[in-house]
Amino acid sequence: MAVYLNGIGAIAPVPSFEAPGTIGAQAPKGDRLACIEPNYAAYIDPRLSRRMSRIVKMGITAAKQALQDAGLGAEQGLDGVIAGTGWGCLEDTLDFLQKLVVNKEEMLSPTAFIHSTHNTIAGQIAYQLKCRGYNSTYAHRNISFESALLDAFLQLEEQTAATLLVGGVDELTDTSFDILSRLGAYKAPANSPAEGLYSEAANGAWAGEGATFFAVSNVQGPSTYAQLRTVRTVSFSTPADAALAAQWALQAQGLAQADLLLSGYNGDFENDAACRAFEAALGHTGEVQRFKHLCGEYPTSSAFALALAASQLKHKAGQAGVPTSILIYNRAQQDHQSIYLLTAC
Amino acid sequence: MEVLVTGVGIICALGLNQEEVLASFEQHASGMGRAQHLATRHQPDYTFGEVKLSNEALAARSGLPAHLSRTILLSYHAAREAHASIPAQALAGARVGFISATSVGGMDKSESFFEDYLTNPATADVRKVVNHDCGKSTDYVAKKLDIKDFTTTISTACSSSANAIMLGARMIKSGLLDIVVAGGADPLTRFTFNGFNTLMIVDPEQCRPLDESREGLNLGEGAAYVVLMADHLAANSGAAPLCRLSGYSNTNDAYHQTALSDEGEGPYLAMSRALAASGLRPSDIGYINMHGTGTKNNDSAEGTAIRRLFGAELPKLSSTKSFTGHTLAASGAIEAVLSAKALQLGCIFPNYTFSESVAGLDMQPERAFHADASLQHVLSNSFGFGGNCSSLIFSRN
Amino acid sequence: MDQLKADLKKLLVEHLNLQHIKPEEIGDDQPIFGEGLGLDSIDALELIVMLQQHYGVRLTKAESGPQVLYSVATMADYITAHQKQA
Repeated sequence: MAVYLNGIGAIAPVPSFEAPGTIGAQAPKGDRLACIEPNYAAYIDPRLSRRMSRIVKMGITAAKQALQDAGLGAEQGLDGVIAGTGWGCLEDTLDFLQKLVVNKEEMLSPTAFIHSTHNTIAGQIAYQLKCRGYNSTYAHRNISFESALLDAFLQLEEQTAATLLVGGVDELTDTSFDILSRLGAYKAPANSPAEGLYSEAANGAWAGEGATFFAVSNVQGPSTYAQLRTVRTVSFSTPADAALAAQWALQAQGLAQADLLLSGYNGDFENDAACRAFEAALGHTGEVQRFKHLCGEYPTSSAFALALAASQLKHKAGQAGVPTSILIYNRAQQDHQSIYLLTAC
Repeated sequence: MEVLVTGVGIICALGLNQEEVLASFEQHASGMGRAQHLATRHQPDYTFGEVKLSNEALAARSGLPAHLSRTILLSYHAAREAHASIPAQALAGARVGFISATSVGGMDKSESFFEDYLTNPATADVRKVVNHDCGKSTDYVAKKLDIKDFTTTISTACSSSANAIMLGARMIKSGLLDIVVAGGADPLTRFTFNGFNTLMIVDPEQCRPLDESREGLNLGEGAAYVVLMADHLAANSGAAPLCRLSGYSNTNDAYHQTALSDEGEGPYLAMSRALAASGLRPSDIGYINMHGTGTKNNDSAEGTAIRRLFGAELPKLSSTKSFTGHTLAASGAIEAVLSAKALQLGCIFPNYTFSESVAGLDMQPERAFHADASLQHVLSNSFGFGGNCSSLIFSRN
Repeated sequence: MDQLKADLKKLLVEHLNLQHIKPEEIGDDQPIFGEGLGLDSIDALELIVMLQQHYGVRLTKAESGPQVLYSVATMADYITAHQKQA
């Protein structure tokens, strides 16, 4: 039973994935890497979007783009929607919280409350596409998207689904940026994006956000980007243990090593030391790329990495010296690491 | 391979463990009343299903720091009871997962932080929001229980912990894990109470689910977990199963962000697919623990879906939310624990009160806790915002 | 009363983020739910909050039905009748 990535939709701080070799880091908007947003009216009826917060519009749009990219309409057998979000619907949550405090528990807005639940994104996608199939949302820090993808993997294996929309979505707001900065998550802006981001002179990472959706299926087709071989989380453990898990995953696919390692360096001293430790333990001698200078650090940033990797496998296919297998390694804090293995079709 | 429920843990308005909760039903004593610990200005006027312990008292029982989010305190309390039931022989060499669920995460601390943050942004204590994210409370508890092989958190509003149990079973069946402690936790918060109140679906008096006169839900809090184990592992290690998880399904109503469709399409699909998965017919179900929040919309839509599926011959049914309040993300797991106990002990849980059926449905819930040795299969429903509909079926082992 | 209705129309558009219509395009007696302006039950709840916030009038459950919120005119009537008592 094989799992294929057949469509990708993304709202990210980069314009598109179509020419992955030419994606350069965008200049940060001030102190963060913010998404380049489309005209949502092209994707969502304004009479419906009037109540939606930014993150919900981002999620729906990315999901619809993925479906379109896979050459599917919802009526063509979409079996479910699974989302991962580490922070949830922050804008609505903070809006309701603010009114709660300022109005002293009176005269509060129902709209902000009902859209504050983490599963609003997946729920609204299902509503827009009239999809009555499986629907779930994972909110577990930097393995929220991994959990969603693992669920999708199981669905396809169990044959309870043939095509699913799976995505990772997180948004930044001024308030969340301020609070996370105070918790030491982010570093002060540097002059030049690419070098500055990985400079370890300061702790903290570049703040980012994004919505990335995939049409995932057990059927390969003309739109297929890559075959997803493994997605695994490694918890409460060391980079060496994650490297071991990666080695097993490679061996299971008959690979000595992946052609390319896409690694979650983010400019934070501790994080990047762990990424180097993983590489060393893995014994990877091939090319290493980084991705967080493009999307920034946020809980579901590995979804962006997966899109980047899948795009490379598809758009560069057949060219000399390009990868046919990519291993992705991501982590954000000590507790959870994740690995993905994908191969060209 | 069958997935068995070999242990449970629970804390809610009815008691601090499964024995206390059961005793409350036997005595027909609901846990509903005025909140003693939730600091809301609406306290004098509303009925809640509050756990009868302060944070300090909860923390003292578990040996945890008292400043922690109430979500962690409740979650650990119940998860510990469930985890303690696992025989050492089963744990040795097993791959163990912890799959939890919450809708608010550490919001109890965050809403207190926000009061300071809005007036004094520079000096408000950011340490209060360290455990705000849903996954933080899950990880805290997983570490305390020394569960390392897999953790995650599901957040699909009021169906969350039912979905957590489903994922646990699926991971065992696929061979990824051997044992899963699955469930969820949600505390009372001003955020959720006021949120539901803006929707005008909260009854200030004690709720009356499945009654024509119902005026809305009461908010409750709590945590519950089930231990799921592969049958061969249970047999080899001497774990004593309460029941089997024989079927489950999750679907989406895709009708409205908060309300169910009039004909209850999402609930109907969830129940019928769960039955199909279990290989059972509607007539095999001996008891339905309904989602039964007490809102006009839910009870009518869910009732309609049940009539569509079961026809003229309904099994025994009730909503235990009349005893516990609506515990949001914890409700699926709390009701899973009750379903498992119903099969283990051969008993049926009742409504707290009932006088008149929802118009047009002629549904009469059970009114008194009683023994039923013939009970073989229990259906438990949980429906959440975003059209999320989940049904679990438990069976005598 | 005319000013009240004009204000209500502006508030409706702003508060409910109605991007597809201008305040002056809303008829005084035009039904605002269902086919009229396309509002739904969540909008009804928002309007109840809006009336309380801006005019100090409180709708109890019994009155929050379709009658008061039927049109701009019925809302204006209700505000005029109840504001004195607020």
